[in-house]
Amino acid sequence: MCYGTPESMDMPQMTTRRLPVFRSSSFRIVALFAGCFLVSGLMVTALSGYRSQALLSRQITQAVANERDEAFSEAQGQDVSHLSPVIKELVQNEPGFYYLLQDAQTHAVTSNMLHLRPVAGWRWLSWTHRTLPPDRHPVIGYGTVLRDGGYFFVGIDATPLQSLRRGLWLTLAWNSLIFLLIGLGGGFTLSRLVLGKIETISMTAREIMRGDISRRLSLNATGDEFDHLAGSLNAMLDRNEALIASVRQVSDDIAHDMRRPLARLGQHLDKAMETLHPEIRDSALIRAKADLHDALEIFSSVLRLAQIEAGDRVPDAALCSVKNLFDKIRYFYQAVAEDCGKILVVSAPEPDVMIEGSRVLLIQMLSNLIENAINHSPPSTRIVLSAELDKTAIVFAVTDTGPGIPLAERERVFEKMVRLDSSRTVPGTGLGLSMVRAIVRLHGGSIRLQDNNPGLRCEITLPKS
Amino acid sequence: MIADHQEGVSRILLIEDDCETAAYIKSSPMFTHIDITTVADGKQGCALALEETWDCIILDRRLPGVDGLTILTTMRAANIQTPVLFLTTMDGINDRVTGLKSGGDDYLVKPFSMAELSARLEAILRRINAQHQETRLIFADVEINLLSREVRRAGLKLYIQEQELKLLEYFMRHPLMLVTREMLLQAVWDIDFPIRTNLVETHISRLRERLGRDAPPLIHTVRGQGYVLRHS
Repeated sequence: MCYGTPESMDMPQMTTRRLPVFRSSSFRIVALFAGCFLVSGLMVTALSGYRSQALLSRQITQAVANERDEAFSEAQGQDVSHLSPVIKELVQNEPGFYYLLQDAQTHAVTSNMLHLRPVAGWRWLSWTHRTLPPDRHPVIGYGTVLRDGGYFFVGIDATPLQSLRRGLWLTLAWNSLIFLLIGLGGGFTLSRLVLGKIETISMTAREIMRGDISRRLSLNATGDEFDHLAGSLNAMLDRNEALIASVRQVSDDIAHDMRRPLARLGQHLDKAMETLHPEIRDSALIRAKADLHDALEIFSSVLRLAQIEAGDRVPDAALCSVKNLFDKIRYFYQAVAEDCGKILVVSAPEPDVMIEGSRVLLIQMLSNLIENAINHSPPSTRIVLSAELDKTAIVFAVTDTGPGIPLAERERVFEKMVRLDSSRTVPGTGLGLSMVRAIVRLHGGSIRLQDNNPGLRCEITLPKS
Repeated sequence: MIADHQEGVSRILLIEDDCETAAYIKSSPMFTHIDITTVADGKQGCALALEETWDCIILDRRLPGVDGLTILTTMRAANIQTPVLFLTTMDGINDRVTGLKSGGDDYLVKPFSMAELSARLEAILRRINAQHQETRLIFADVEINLLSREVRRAGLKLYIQEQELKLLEYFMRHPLMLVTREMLLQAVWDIDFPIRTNLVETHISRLRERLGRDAPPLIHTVRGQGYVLRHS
């Protein structure tokens, strides 16, 4: 056999290093979300900016087109000589516009700006093309090549349009920066919060693995998903602890209670080996065999009890007729009770009642109670088994008119291997009532012992099917 | 003691990895008339169970290679209906049910008495020998008519209660054999948990009385072991 302390046991490699934030799932999720939010924000800003710019651009070009058409209309001829007086007047009266009328040799005839290369259509001019002193304003305008080779250009200050464009780019840049900062910051904070909670769970798990099986995860009482997870894990740990305790209890019980019959077995075998008389040897061997039988019986009873206590559902559950169960008990014990000089009354419910459970275990439950009543009562005791139907439950009662159990001892008799002083002379392992209580609990019921004045009344309440 | 149920000797395959238990069964005087082949390995046992014809297979559940339950399900899947008696240490609440539901014919938990194994094996072999269906059981001057459930001793009709009749029938089916208290509890009352009252003793005593106080006793107590049906 190999013994090992918790330290020497094989345990999975545990890392005590803090989890890096940037590799955490929560950070990645928040970063992805921030990225999506950034792209959508930029698209909305860009779209609205583009729409505003297009609107302003249309208004400006419309004003230029109107001015051009007005000039042509007043001049009544599209050549330099007709246009010259009109433009001269416009240069003087319309300071918001830029005019250029030049001849075929690109000499400015009338203008408030420098000459241009005669290109027809819409043009965007930088400040360098303007009259001195330069006002550094950009110009958007329309150029027309005249019939006599001259060139006429009318434009307007495009500063508002340029400012709008600059403003739009600036907004997009700021938006990106702010989204990026908020995304990273939010992701980092959220990840730290989530990782903090996960690290708490992880640390508790490590402490449990080191041997502190009573440790539990703390709940924040916020009812969030972490509380939900911690609750489920705590329930699992409770169950595991109960199972470990049960296994420990079984080992202790077996180690403790097998000792007595095994010691007696040893004594009887010693006697058989030492004696020279065949009769004494045979008698010692028979007793040794009985001791071995007792030891095995304790062993299988403890294991069976542990299995019932550790179970969370009834094995082989089926609908059982209470009348049928009672018939079985009458069949088992009527003659036994009679031979012991006791009266067994089995009062089956009328009409019959069905109960959901393990037939084998329910029979064992009732058998143990009846056997207790038969074994621990004087002759002429009246033992009654009955069942009553409640709204939601079936109440089984086993009553006797025997000596009963003192109030102070009523809870103790359910403990394993507990035998009251008054019952030492009666055969038994001290597991009967523990088994009854385990079967009752497995079926979701309860058991209590009461005074029957005189005697004992054992009442078992099991839920109705 | 098990008698030959068919022409020739009954052939039994014992798949058991504990060599001492296997040798203990094989060398038992109760099985001198049976040809027992022992195998310790699950795979080899499974192959033998599938390839050869046996009257019964005694099967352990925990075996190296292939476990007993798998061997049984493999056999049943291959439509081999050879009776199987589980002989195992697995006595959990569900173990017995699983073993029997998977197609096992009987389930005996270790440690076991040779008398009980012999009795159960005999019952299985008798079941498969259906052409020899008995209608009467006779031992000494006692006769049970299994159809009318009537009991006679020396020709005189006896009035016997149901439980005593079941007890007597069990003894008559296992004459001269040691019958333990546990065997009777399971066979007559279907109880497999410890009983702390004189259930068996009470009914044995009543049965003895029904069979007649003055007549030669037939059911004898073997101290510390059980009972046996034999002539005085």
